Amino acid sequence: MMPTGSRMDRDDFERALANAADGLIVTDQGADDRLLEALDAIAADAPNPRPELIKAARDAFAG
Amino acid sequence: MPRAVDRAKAATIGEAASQAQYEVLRAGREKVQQSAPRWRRVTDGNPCGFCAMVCSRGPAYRSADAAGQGRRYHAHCGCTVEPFFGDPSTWVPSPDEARFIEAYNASWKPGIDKWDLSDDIGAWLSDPANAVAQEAKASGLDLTGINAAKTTQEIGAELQKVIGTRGNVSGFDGAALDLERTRSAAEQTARMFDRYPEVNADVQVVKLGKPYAQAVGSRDGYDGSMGNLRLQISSAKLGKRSKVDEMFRHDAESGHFHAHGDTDPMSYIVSHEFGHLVDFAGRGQIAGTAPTPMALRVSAIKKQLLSDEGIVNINGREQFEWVKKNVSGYGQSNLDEQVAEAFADVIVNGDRAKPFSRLIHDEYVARLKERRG
Repeated sequence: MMPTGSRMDRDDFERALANAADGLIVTDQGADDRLLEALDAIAADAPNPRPELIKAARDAFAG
Repeated sequence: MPRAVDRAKAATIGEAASQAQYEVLRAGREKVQQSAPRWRRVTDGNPCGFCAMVCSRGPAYRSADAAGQGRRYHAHCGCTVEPFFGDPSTWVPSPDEARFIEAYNASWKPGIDKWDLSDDIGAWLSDPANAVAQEAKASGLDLTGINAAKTTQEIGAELQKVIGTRGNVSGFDGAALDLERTRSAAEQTARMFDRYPEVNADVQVVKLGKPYAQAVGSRDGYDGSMGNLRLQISSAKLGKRSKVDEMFRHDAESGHFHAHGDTDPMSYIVSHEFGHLVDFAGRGQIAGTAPTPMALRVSAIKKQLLSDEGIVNINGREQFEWVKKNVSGYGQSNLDEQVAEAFADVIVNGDRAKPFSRLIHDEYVARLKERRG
């Protein structure tokens, strides 16, 4: 769990992406529902997630 | 040990803050009928020594007044009285009441007056060693080793003994870890393993960025085997220089997390993360992109509660505000966190947890039991 005001930064996002590509679900990363869904889709597609899924996650992170 | 002046001071602390709580409870107190032959005092779970002493006597009072109806003996006193019908010797103490009786028996000595006795009972109840021994008696969970450990490495080793083959414990040997904070995290972890026997997970103290802690699971699904799930606790937040206590107090006061009374932050944090682990184990909200039966139940519960308040759009702004009020500020992150916050609320606040929390928690527990057969 994250303290007040903590939001996912670029490094955290890249780690989250790498974890998802390994098929891992990691909680408490400061992801909102949309980004979480995109990361879940990548994890479901592990170990070789399709590029469009990664693009969707990057778009969700960028807001 | 507090004496008369301290007692008087304690009685005024928080008087104003507890007034509202008192007014609410008074209405219930006044409704209680006077016809029962015996009365007993019922505490709010965190009584002063005096209330614990009165409560320990069970249905020994011949009137509601004698059991202290309408009287507050400590600030924030939420104690009430209840009638007891039938033979007083058939009264069976609850686990809390058994603890008060044990405190009474350990504190009483010939000639002691009731004020000194209630002080001694209060001191006994607040001694962690007594709490651990009592917990072992009540649940069979033995935290004696963790409680007595002199180093964080020993704490890790003792936690490993408690959880046995249900997970590997690592990272408790860091030199910068604070002994008491680490002990608190380990004790609560052991309690959670005891409370949710369906969950197997590794317990790791690791370097994390911002999170206090996190749970990690495999997309391949939870099969109950070791290594499949991980509870990771931030080494920095457990550290000697950690500001976790003040950060967490601020977070609770702002509504970011549930109010948690005297429960320490590490206990709350571990409870929250175990919520995620149970979610994994129950194949619930966290289980993936395709909704599982459990995830659908979570959505249905939330939808029903929203609908009770006239909120139709479960993804709209109103639901966002609803989550802040009925779950917690942190629950606004996503639905996974709402589930984990529900667990933290139930574990820390018990019957006082919010309706959403209780419904979600109980649904998961029922689902796990079903699967266990």
